[in-house]
Amino acid sequence: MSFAETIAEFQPLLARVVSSYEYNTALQQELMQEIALCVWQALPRFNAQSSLKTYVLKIAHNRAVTHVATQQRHYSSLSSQDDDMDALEAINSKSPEALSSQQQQLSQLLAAIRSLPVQYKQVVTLSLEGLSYQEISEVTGMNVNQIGVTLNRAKKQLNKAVQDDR
Amino acid sequence: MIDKRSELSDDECQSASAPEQLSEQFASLWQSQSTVSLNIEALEAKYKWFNVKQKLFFIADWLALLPFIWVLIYKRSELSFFWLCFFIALGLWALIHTIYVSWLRRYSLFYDESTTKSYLDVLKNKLDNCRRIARITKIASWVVYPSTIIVMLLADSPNSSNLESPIDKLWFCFIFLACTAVSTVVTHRREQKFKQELSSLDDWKHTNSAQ
Repeated sequence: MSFAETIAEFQPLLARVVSSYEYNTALQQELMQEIALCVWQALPRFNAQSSLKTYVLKIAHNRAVTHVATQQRHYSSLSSQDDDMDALEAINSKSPEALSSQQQQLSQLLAAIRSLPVQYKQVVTLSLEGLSYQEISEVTGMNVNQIGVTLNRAKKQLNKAVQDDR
Repeated sequence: MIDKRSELSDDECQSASAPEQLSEQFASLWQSQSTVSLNIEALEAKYKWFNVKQKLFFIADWLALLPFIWVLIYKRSELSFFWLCFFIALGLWALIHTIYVSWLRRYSLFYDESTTKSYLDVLKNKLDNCRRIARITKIASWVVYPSTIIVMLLADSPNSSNLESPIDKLWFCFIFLACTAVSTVVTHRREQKFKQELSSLDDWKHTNSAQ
Protein backbone atom coordinates (compact mmCIF):
# COMPACT_ATOMS: atom_id res chain seq x y z
CA MET A 1 0.00 0.00 0.00
CA SER A 2 1.43 3.41 -0.96
CA PHE A 3 1.98 6.25 1.50
CA ALA A 4 -0.94 8.24 0.04
CA GLU A 5 -3.29 5.24 0.26
CA THR A 6 -2.19 4.48 3.84
CA ILE A 7 -2.65 8.06 5.00
CA ALA A 8 -6.00 8.32 3.20
CA GLU A 9 -7.23 5.14 4.88
CA PHE A 10 -5.98 5.91 8.38
CA GLN A 11 -6.42 9.70 8.43
CA PRO A 12 -9.52 9.68 10.67
CA LEU A 13 -7.87 7.18 13.01
CA LEU A 14 -4.70 9.31 13.26
CA ALA A 15 -6.77 12.43 13.83
CA ARG A 16 -8.51 10.75 16.78
CA VAL A 17 -5.12 9.81 18.28
CA VAL A 18 -4.03 13.43 17.87
CA SER A 19 -7.18 14.76 19.52
CA SER A 20 -6.51 12.62 22.59
CA TYR A 21 -3.15 14.38 23.10
CA GLU A 22 -3.70 17.93 21.82
CA TYR A 23 -6.60 20.32 22.37
CA ASN A 24 -5.46 23.20 20.17
CA THR A 25 -6.55 22.82 16.53
CA ALA A 26 -3.37 24.37 15.05
CA LEU A 27 -1.19 22.08 17.16
CA GLN A 28 -3.36 19.12 16.19
CA GLN A 29 -2.64 19.89 12.52
CA GLU A 30 1.08 20.18 13.28
CA LEU A 31 1.15 16.90 15.21
CA MET A 32 -0.85 15.19 12.47
CA GLN A 33 1.81 16.18 9.93
CA GLU A 34 4.61 14.97 12.22
CA ILE A 35 2.86 11.61 12.58
CA ALA A 36 2.29 11.35 8.83
CA LEU A 37 6.04 11.94 8.32
CA CYS A 38 6.88 9.16 10.79
CA VAL A 39 4.41 6.78 9.09
CA TRP A 40 6.01 7.58 5.74
CA GLN A 41 9.48 6.87 7.17
CA ALA A 42 8.40 3.61 8.81
CA LEU A 43 6.15 2.21 6.08
CA PRO A 44 8.91 0.52 4.02
CA ARG A 45 9.83 -1.55 7.10
CA PHE A 46 6.33 -2.87 7.73
CA ASN A 47 6.71 -6.66 7.69
CA ALA A 48 3.08 -7.70 8.30
CA GLN A 49 3.87 -9.31 11.68
CA SER A 50 1.03 -7.22 13.05
CA SER A 51 -1.86 -5.58 11.22
CA LEU A 52 -1.11 -2.31 9.40
CA LYS A 53 -3.61 -0.56 11.71
CA THR A 54 -1.68 -1.67 14.82
CA TYR A 55 1.62 -0.67 13.21
CA VAL A 56 0.34 2.80 12.28
CA LEU A 57 -1.17 3.29 15.75
CA LYS A 58 2.13 2.37 17.39
CA ILE A 59 3.96 4.99 15.33
CA ALA A 60 1.25 7.58 15.96
CA HIS A 61 1.28 7.11 19.75
CA ASN A 62 5.09 7.21 19.95
CA ARG A 63 5.22 10.42 17.95
CA ALA A 64 2.42 11.97 20.02
CA VAL A 65 4.22 11.04 23.24
CA THR A 66 7.40 12.70 21.93
CA HIS A 67 5.40 15.76 21.00
CA VAL A 68 3.83 16.29 24.40
CA ALA A 69 6.82 15.09 26.44
CA THR A 70 9.57 17.15 24.82
CA GLN A 71 7.72 20.24 23.66
CA GLN A 72 6.12 21.29 26.94
CA ARG A 73 8.00 24.59 27.14
CA HIS A 74 6.69 25.63 23.71
CA TYR A 75 3.14 24.78 24.50
CA SER A 76 3.06 25.51 28.23
CA SER A 77 0.34 28.10 27.70
CA LEU A 78 -1.62 25.52 25.77
CA SER A 79 -0.89 22.52 27.97
CA SER A 80 -3.57 19.91 27.64
CA GLN A 81 -4.68 19.95 31.27
CA ASP A 82 -5.13 23.73 31.42
CA ASP A 83 -6.86 23.65 28.06
CA ASP A 84 -9.11 20.86 29.16
CA MET A 85 -10.11 22.75 32.30
CA ASP A 86 -10.84 25.82 30.18
CA ALA A 87 -12.71 23.71 27.67
CA LEU A 88 -14.79 22.11 30.38
CA GLU A 89 -15.58 25.50 31.94
CA ALA A 90 -16.53 26.85 28.54
CA ILE A 91 -18.75 23.86 27.87
CA ASN A 92 -20.40 24.04 31.27
CA SER A 93 -21.00 27.80 30.99
CA LYS A 94 -22.98 27.38 27.78
CA SER A 95 -26.64 26.64 27.82
CA PRO A 96 -27.77 23.18 26.79
CA GLU A 97 -29.23 24.77 23.68
CA ALA A 98 -25.85 26.18 22.72
CA LEU A 99 -24.27 22.79 22.37
CA SER A 100 -25.96 19.63 21.30
CA SER A 101 -26.03 16.97 23.95
CA GLN A 102 -23.81 14.67 21.93
CA GLN A 103 -21.27 17.41 21.25
CA GLN A 104 -21.15 18.25 24.94
CA GLN A 105 -20.67 14.62 25.92
CA LEU A 106 -17.93 14.23 23.32
CA SER A 107 -16.10 17.31 24.59
CA GLN A 108 -16.35 16.02 28.16
CA LEU A 109 -15.08 12.61 27.09
CA LEU A 110 -12.14 14.13 25.18
CA ALA A 111 -11.25 16.41 28.08
CA ALA A 112 -11.39 13.45 30.48
CA ILE A 113 -9.22 11.30 28.17
CA ARG A 114 -6.64 14.07 27.76
CA SER A 115 -6.34 14.41 31.52
CA LEU A 116 -5.53 10.70 31.97
CA PRO A 117 -1.93 9.51 32.56
CA VAL A 118 -0.34 8.43 29.28
CA GLN A 119 -0.61 4.66 29.86
CA TYR A 120 -4.30 4.95 30.71
CA LYS A 121 -4.87 7.25 27.75
CA GLN A 122 -3.20 4.85 25.34
CA VAL A 123 -5.07 1.79 26.59
CA VAL A 124 -8.41 3.62 26.53
CA THR A 125 -8.05 5.12 23.06
CA LEU A 126 -6.70 1.90 21.55
CA SER A 127 -9.60 0.03 23.11
CA LEU A 128 -12.01 2.61 21.70
CA GLU A 129 -10.49 1.92 18.27
CA GLY A 130 -11.43 -1.74 18.71
CA LEU A 131 -7.97 -3.23 19.31
CA SER A 132 -7.72 -6.50 21.23
CA TYR A 133 -5.64 -6.79 24.42
CA GLN A 134 -2.90 -8.50 22.41
CA GLU A 135 -2.83 -5.66 19.86
CA ILE A 136 -2.82 -3.04 22.64
CA SER A 137 0.11 -4.91 24.15
CA GLU A 138 1.98 -4.70 20.81
CA VAL A 139 1.56 -0.93 20.78
CA THR A 140 2.23 -0.08 24.41
CA GLY A 141 4.62 -2.83 25.53
CA MET A 142 2.43 -3.52 28.58
CA ASN A 143 1.53 -7.13 29.32
CA VAL A 144 -2.04 -8.34 28.86
CA ASN A 145 -2.67 -8.49 32.64
CA GLN A 146 -1.68 -4.86 33.08
CA ILE A 147 -3.92 -3.83 30.21
CA GLY A 148 -6.98 -5.39 31.86
CA VAL A 149 -6.23 -3.63 35.16
CA THR A 150 -5.44 -0.31 33.49
CA LEU A 151 -8.58 -0.40 31.34
CA ASN A 152 -10.77 -1.03 34.38
CA ARG A 153 -9.22 1.79 36.36
CA ALA A 154 -9.34 4.18 33.39
CA LYS A 155 -12.99 3.32 32.78
CA LYS A 156 -13.82 4.23 36.37
CA GLN A 157 -11.96 7.54 36.06
CA LEU A 158 -13.69 8.34 32.79
CA ASN A 159 -17.13 7.52 34.13
CA LYS A 160 -16.48 9.65 37.21
CA ALA A 161 -15.10 12.57 35.19
CA VAL A 162 -17.97 12.58 32.69
CA GLN A 163 -20.62 12.22 35.45
CA ASP A 164 -19.02 14.94 37.61
CA ASP A 165 -19.15 17.38 34.73
CA ARG A 166 -22.83 16.83 34.14
CA MET B 1 -3.43 -19.40 29.05
CA ILE B 2 -2.81 -16.10 30.78
CA ASP B 3 -5.15 -15.29 33.64
CA LYS B 4 -6.15 -11.70 32.96
CA ARG B 5 -7.37 -11.18 36.52
CA SER B 6 -4.25 -12.35 38.33
CA GLU B 7 -3.18 -8.78 39.13
CA LEU B 8 -6.62 -7.34 39.89
CA SER B 9 -7.66 -6.22 43.36
CA ASP B 10 -10.90 -7.68 44.85
CA ASP B 11 -12.82 -4.57 43.84
CA GLU B 12 -11.41 -4.74 40.34
CA CYS B 13 -12.19 -8.45 40.10
CA GLN B 14 -15.85 -7.65 40.69
CA SER B 15 -15.91 -4.90 38.09
CA ALA B 16 -13.97 -7.10 35.66
CA SER B 17 -17.09 -9.20 35.21
CA ALA B 18 -18.48 -6.26 33.24
CA PRO B 19 -17.62 -6.19 29.53
CA GLU B 20 -13.88 -5.70 29.16
CA GLN B 21 -14.12 -3.16 26.41
CA LEU B 22 -15.21 0.39 27.20
CA SER B 23 -18.90 1.06 27.04
CA GLU B 24 -20.65 1.26 23.70
CA GLN B 25 -21.66 4.81 24.51
CA PHE B 26 -18.05 5.97 24.83
CA ALA B 27 -17.05 4.05 21.71
CA SER B 28 -19.77 5.59 19.54
CA LEU B 29 -19.01 9.08 20.93
CA TRP B 30 -15.31 8.54 20.22
CA GLN B 31 -15.92 7.47 16.63
CA SER B 32 -18.32 10.39 16.01
CA GLN B 33 -15.77 13.16 16.56
CA SER B 34 -14.93 15.42 13.64
CA THR B 35 -11.29 15.13 12.64
CA VAL B 36 -8.63 17.36 11.14
CA SER B 37 -7.70 16.51 7.56
CA LEU B 38 -4.46 16.56 5.61
CA ASN B 39 -3.63 17.61 2.07
CA ILE B 40 -2.04 14.33 0.99
CA GLU B 41 -0.57 15.63 -2.29
CA ALA B 42 1.15 18.51 -0.47
CA LEU B 43 2.39 16.07 2.19
CA GLU B 44 3.87 13.74 -0.43
CA ALA B 45 5.68 16.61 -2.13
CA LYS B 46 6.98 17.85 1.23
CA TYR B 47 8.27 14.42 2.27
CA LYS B 48 9.94 13.74 -1.08
CA TRP B 49 11.82 17.03 -0.66
CA PHE B 50 12.70 16.03 2.92
CA ASN B 51 14.18 12.77 1.61
CA VAL B 52 16.23 14.55 -1.09
CA LYS B 53 17.46 17.08 1.50
CA GLN B 54 18.62 14.36 3.90
CA LYS B 55 20.52 12.60 1.09
CA LEU B 56 22.15 15.90 0.06
CA PHE B 57 23.24 16.53 3.69
CA PHE B 58 24.67 13.02 3.79
CA ILE B 59 26.66 13.57 0.58
CA ALA B 60 27.82 17.03 1.75
CA ASP B 61 29.16 15.53 5.00
CA TRP B 62 31.39 13.15 3.05
CA LEU B 63 32.39 15.69 0.39
CA ALA B 64 33.83 17.82 3.22
CA LEU B 65 36.57 15.19 3.58
CA LEU B 66 37.76 15.62 -0.02
CA PRO B 67 40.13 18.59 0.68
CA PHE B 68 42.02 16.52 3.28
CA ILE B 69 42.27 13.56 0.90
CA TRP B 70 43.43 15.85 -1.91
CA VAL B 71 46.13 17.47 0.28
CA LEU B 72 47.37 14.15 1.64
CA ILE B 73 47.55 12.49 -1.78
CA TYR B 74 48.68 15.26 -4.14
CA LYS B 75 50.47 17.76 -1.85
CA ARG B 76 52.10 15.34 0.56
CA SER B 77 55.61 15.79 -0.87
CA GLU B 78 55.39 19.58 -0.44
CA LEU B 79 54.45 19.37 3.26
CA SER B 80 56.88 19.47 6.16
CA PHE B 81 56.56 16.80 8.88
CA PHE B 82 54.75 19.31 11.13
CA TRP B 83 52.15 20.17 8.48
CA LEU B 84 51.68 16.54 7.51
CA CYS B 85 50.88 15.71 11.16
CA PHE B 86 48.59 18.73 11.38
CA PHE B 87 46.58 17.70 8.28
CA ILE B 88 46.44 14.05 9.35
CA ALA B 89 45.16 15.06 12.80
CA LEU B 90 42.53 17.39 11.31
CA GLY B 91 41.57 14.77 8.72
CA LEU B 92 41.14 12.07 11.37
CA TRP B 93 39.03 14.37 13.51
CA ALA B 94 36.87 15.27 10.46
CA LEU B 95 36.51 11.57 9.55
CA ILE B 96 35.35 10.59 13.05
CA HIS B 97 32.97 13.54 13.14
CA THR B 98 31.54 12.65 9.69
CA ILE B 99 30.99 9.01 10.64
CA TYR B 100 29.22 10.07 13.84
CA VAL B 101 27.02 12.62 12.05
CA SER B 102 26.18 10.09 9.31
CA TRP B 103 25.20 7.58 11.98
CA LEU B 104 22.89 10.18 13.51
CA ARG B 105 21.35 11.00 10.12
CA ARG B 106 20.54 7.31 9.75
CA TYR B 107 18.22 7.79 12.74
CA SER B 108 16.56 10.81 11.17
CA LEU B 109 15.86 8.86 7.97
CA PHE B 110 14.34 5.84 9.69
CA TYR B 111 11.81 5.70 12.45
CA ASP B 112 11.96 3.47 15.50
CA GLU B 113 8.73 1.48 15.73
CA SER B 114 9.32 -0.05 19.19
CA THR B 115 6.53 -0.15 21.77
CA THR B 116 5.86 3.03 23.73
CA LYS B 117 7.31 1.50 26.89
CA SER B 118 10.76 0.90 25.35
CA TYR B 119 10.43 3.88 23.01
CA LEU B 120 10.59 6.33 25.94
CA ASP B 121 13.99 4.93 26.97
CA VAL B 122 15.20 5.05 23.36
CA LEU B 123 13.97 8.64 23.06
CA LYS B 124 15.80 9.63 26.25
CA ASN B 125 19.02 8.07 24.94
CA LYS B 126 18.62 9.80 21.58
CA LEU B 127 18.11 13.22 23.19
CA ASP B 128 21.05 12.65 25.52
CA ASN B 129 23.26 11.65 22.57
CA CYS B 130 22.24 14.78 20.65
CA ARG B 131 23.04 16.91 23.72
CA ARG B 132 26.46 15.24 24.02
CA ILE B 133 27.23 15.78 20.32
CA ALA B 134 26.31 19.46 20.59
CA ARG B 135 28.63 19.78 23.60
CA ILE B 136 31.49 17.89 21.90
CA THR B 137 31.12 20.06 18.79
CA LYS B 138 31.14 23.22 20.94
CA ILE B 139 34.33 22.17 22.75
CA ALA B 140 35.90 21.05 19.45
CA SER B 141 35.23 24.46 17.91
CA TRP B 142 37.03 26.12 20.86
CA VAL B 143 40.03 23.88 20.18
CA VAL B 144 40.13 23.61 16.37
CA TYR B 145 39.63 27.22 15.27
CA PRO B 146 41.91 28.97 17.83
CA SER B 147 44.60 26.30 17.44
CA THR B 148 44.46 26.75 13.65
CA ILE B 149 44.96 30.50 14.13
CA ILE B 150 47.93 29.95 16.45
CA VAL B 151 49.48 27.33 14.18
CA MET B 152 49.02 29.41 11.03
CA LEU B 153 50.47 32.55 12.64
CA LEU B 154 53.39 31.03 14.53
CA ALA B 155 54.48 28.09 12.41
CA ASP B 156 55.80 28.20 8.87
CA SER B 157 52.72 28.05 6.71
CA PRO B 158 52.72 25.47 3.89
CA ASN B 159 52.53 28.34 1.45
CA SER B 160 54.11 31.25 3.30
CA SER B 161 53.20 33.87 0.71
CA ASN B 162 49.51 33.53 1.76
CA LEU B 163 49.84 35.27 5.14
CA GLU B 164 52.67 37.71 4.68
CA SER B 165 50.91 41.04 5.13
CA PRO B 166 49.48 42.09 8.55
CA ILE B 167 46.10 42.77 6.90
CA ASP B 168 45.96 39.20 5.63
CA LYS B 169 46.78 37.98 9.14
CA LEU B 170 44.08 40.19 10.64
CA TRP B 171 41.49 38.95 8.13
CA PHE B 172 42.51 35.37 8.79
CA CYS B 173 42.16 35.86 12.58
CA PHE B 174 38.85 37.68 12.16
CA ILE B 175 37.32 34.94 9.96
CA PHE B 176 38.42 32.10 12.23
CA LEU B 177 37.33 33.93 15.40
CA ALA B 178 33.96 34.63 13.77
CA CYS B 179 33.69 30.91 12.94
CA THR B 180 34.45 30.10 16.60
CA ALA B 181 31.80 32.54 17.82
CA VAL B 182 29.11 31.34 15.40
CA SER B 183 29.87 27.69 16.10
CA THR B 184 29.78 28.33 19.88
CA VAL B 185 26.43 30.13 19.74
CA VAL B 186 24.80 27.52 17.46
CA THR B 187 26.07 24.48 19.37
CA HIS B 188 25.30 26.07 22.76
CA ARG B 189 21.70 26.72 21.65
CA ARG B 190 21.38 23.13 20.44
CA GLU B 191 22.82 21.82 23.70
CA GLN B 192 20.35 23.92 25.72
CA LYS B 193 17.45 22.83 23.48
CA PHE B 194 18.19 19.12 24.00
CA LYS B 195 18.77 19.71 27.74
CA GLN B 196 15.35 21.36 27.95
CA GLU B 197 13.70 18.54 26.01
CA LEU B 198 15.36 15.95 28.26
CA SER B 199 14.21 17.82 31.33
CA SER B 200 10.65 18.05 29.93
CA LEU B 201 10.71 14.33 29.16
CA ASP B 202 11.89 13.48 32.70
CA ASP B 203 9.25 15.76 34.27
CA TRP B 204 6.57 14.32 32.04
CA LYS B 205 7.58 10.71 32.82
CA HIS B 206 7.66 11.52 36.53
CA THR B 207 4.21 13.16 36.38
CA ASN B 208 2.71 10.26 34.45
CA SER B 209 4.23 7.59 36.68
CA ALA B 210 3.04 9.45 39.81
CA GLN B 211 -0.57 9.70 38.64
